[in-house]
Amino acid sequence: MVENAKFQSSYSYGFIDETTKKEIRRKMLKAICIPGYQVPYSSPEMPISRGWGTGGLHLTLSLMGRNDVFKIIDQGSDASVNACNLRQFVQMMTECAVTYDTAQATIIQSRHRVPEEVLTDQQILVLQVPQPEVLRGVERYEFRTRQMHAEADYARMWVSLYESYVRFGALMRGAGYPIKVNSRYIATPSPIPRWDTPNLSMANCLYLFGAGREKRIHAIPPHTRVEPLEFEDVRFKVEEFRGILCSASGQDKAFMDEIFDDADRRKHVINDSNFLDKVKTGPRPPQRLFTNPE
Amino acid sequence: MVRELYYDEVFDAQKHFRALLDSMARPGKINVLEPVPLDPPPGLNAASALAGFALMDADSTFEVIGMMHGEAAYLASNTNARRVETAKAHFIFARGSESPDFLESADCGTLLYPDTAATVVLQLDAASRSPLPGGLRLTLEGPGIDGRGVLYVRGLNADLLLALQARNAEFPLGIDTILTFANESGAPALAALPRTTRVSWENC
Repeated sequence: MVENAKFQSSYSYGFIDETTKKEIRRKMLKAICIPGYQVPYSSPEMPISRGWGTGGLHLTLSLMGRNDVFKIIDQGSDASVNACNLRQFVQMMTECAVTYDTAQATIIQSRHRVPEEVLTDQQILVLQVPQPEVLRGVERYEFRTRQMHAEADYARMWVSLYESYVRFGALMRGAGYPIKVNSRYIATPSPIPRWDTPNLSMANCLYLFGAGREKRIHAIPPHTRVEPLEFEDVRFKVEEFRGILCSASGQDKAFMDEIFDDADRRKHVINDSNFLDKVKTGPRPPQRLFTNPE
Repeated sequence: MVRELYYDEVFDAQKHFRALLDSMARPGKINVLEPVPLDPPPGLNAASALAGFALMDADSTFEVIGMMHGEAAYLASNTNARRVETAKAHFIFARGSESPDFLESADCGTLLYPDTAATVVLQLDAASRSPLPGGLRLTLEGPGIDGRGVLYVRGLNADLLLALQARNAEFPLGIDTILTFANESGAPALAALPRTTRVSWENC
């Protein structure tokens, strides 16, 4: 008799039913085939609200098998309430192993950060996306943004960047800096800091982006050119933490959180919690660092 | 009609999907599928059947090209997918030796929705990282490939590559291809050529 997991628990394996998982899987493959293009998908109901990481969960649960090792981080931290809850949920639903260690994980779900440590070709990074349509800020209607993507008509995006420069003297985009994927589609990298954006380009791992509320999946395959939008004379720059050291580890060259202690003293701490643990206790894990143009 | 008994639609599908995902994200990379005792009709190899099982259900449509021994009924009864004409099929199963006419009518999506394009599952005699006498040497470039990739294939009609090149000329429109075969030890294996991959070939 074939072992049939379907009736052994009161939930489907991975919570989502098999038909919907297959649909999400087909859409994931198409997203990889068209890097940067947003594929519409079903976005089934989950036990958390849309907009709280359901897109990431859909992808994670459709990918996950019993041999996977799962890590989830929320704004760099393994221990935040959201990360803990979703980790517990995914583990309950898929019987997978879980870890805090970036190097051990096969599937990493993340909100607002790409881990500092370089990811390998055995790893998949699933990013939660609140607003997948990078053109929404310059065009309110979906049928028009779709047409703009179809025609690669990104003039208004460039104008908005130019306007930001003439008004403020800088490209005023912090998180979610617009990127051009494989020289064709302009896409959002999800609200990761600019610090992480260069790591999307020519990476070893696969990046998948799920937007549950907006019902869209997009992907950046490994070894794919990703360019942050910039002008010839006004270049893309990552955050600089000049002269700033992490107060917990004394290290620099990592994305820092600015915090204030009880005595109102300003200090900085490395944002990626697993990276911080590693630099505190042992050798610094390999990183890809971007050098700002002069 | 054979209804497969040993295929686990939860865990086998998940493992085979992950192999497909890895091959699609890294064009030309060969992934071996965990074998399942299957009894597909003579025209269909095990890897094609497993790729179909992993991806197709009642919401998807398919067509088989040049297969006359109940292959369509086999796929339909095991996945609940519907057989339709080539132009409307989400998945098209064909042999690598087939003439390229069917690619002319295959759906390559629209500029607004390029994701609606067909996925072609091509069955080869063999594919390998090392040269296969009497076969083709494919040189691959594009997203997912570090620099330049090489894949040796046998049982692939070069006219199919030429037709795919023509259909994929206007990115984002295009057809995504899954190559299925049995590896040296007879296990089902696959590689993929998504529409973004630029393929050049020569005899070897």
